[in-house]
Amino acid sequence: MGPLLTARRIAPLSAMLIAASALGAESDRHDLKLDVSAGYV
Amino acid sequence: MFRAFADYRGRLTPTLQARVIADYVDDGSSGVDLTEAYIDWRPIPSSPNQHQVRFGAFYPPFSLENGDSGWQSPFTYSYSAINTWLGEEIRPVGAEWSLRRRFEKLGNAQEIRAFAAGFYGNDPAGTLLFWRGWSLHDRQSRLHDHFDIPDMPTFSSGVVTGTRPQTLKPFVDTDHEPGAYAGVEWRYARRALVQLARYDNRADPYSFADGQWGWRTDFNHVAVQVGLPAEIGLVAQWMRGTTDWLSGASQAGTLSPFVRFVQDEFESQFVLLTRRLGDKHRLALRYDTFSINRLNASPPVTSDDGDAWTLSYRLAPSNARFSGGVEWLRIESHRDLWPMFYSVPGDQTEDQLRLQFSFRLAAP
Repeated sequence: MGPLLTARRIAPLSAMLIAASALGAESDRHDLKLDVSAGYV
Repeated sequence: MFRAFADYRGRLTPTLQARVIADYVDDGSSGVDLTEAYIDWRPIPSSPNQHQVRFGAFYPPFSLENGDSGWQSPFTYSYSAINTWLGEEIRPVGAEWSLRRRFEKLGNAQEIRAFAAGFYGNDPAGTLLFWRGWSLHDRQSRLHDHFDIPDMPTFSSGVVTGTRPQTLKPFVDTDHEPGAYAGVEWRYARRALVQLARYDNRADPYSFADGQWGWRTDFNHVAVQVGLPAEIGLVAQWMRGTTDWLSGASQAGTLSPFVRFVQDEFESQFVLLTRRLGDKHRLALRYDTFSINRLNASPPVTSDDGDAWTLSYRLAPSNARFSGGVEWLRIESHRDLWPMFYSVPGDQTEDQLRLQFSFRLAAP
């Protein structure tokens, strides 16, 4: 398991966060859930 | 393992709703991809019958485990063998019709649903099941994923002389023939649910396209969900099917002189018990069995035969953004193919202890 936050991880996460902000996490017409999880085996 | 997904639902018109699930996993796969993308058309009902038509790429409604956002399970972190495989290799691209009807004379407690779908693609389904065997995890294949699977052995005079790599693209179309699935479901309030379904990708095992062979895969499926006394929930599923394929087919689309038609039967079932402990905690215990057997071979080959126990604890305060938990998983399996093809022991026991933390933006 490498460092939790690396550039490869931050880029798609940022894109999803921008989409979430643009849409509003929840409104009458839109509902966006963003889920980030890390598992350690 | 690190995963991030965005599960978006949007109402386009009063009768049209879109859903898109974008997914990122840090396992060397390429960036963000979609696991599902579809539009639902639900006309305003003029009778007790509620129709719905779904277009796009979507999961069949077979899993009673994966009812959470992003097709996750609210019970365990690793899915059952059945639903792990559905997440890996089953993703129709097509249209699904469903009809839901409540019985008002029975107090609206009882409801039936029927569904049927036609789709293209999904023709290699069964490839991973045979070459890798059953598995239990939560890595869902995305629509454009292509990944390595165990190497294909090369033979000389019936003896394995080497291997060559194989790549799977599970959702491509190889034969331009549509597949289909259909099922019925009965629900009694939130206390009981029974579903019967059948899936058939109707792939031609002699078809080849985009580096993939068709695997004719069909299965029957039964799923049950019951609320037991003491607030214990029970989920059980059973699946049995066959996959027909060509042994001796190359990745270049050619057939060796030793090519032959093979039929393997696969079966799996699980029982899961779960209980919430107060508002913040959930326990789940699941037992899986699974097998893959050669129906027409001499000598007969047991491609997979095993079972698995999963014990999961989750701390998930209601309306909290953070959740976490711990899960223990043990898989015991026997595969004739390991010593036969790869000179490794056929009996394997895997133990896994997993810690998981999740953060969710927007209300859970």
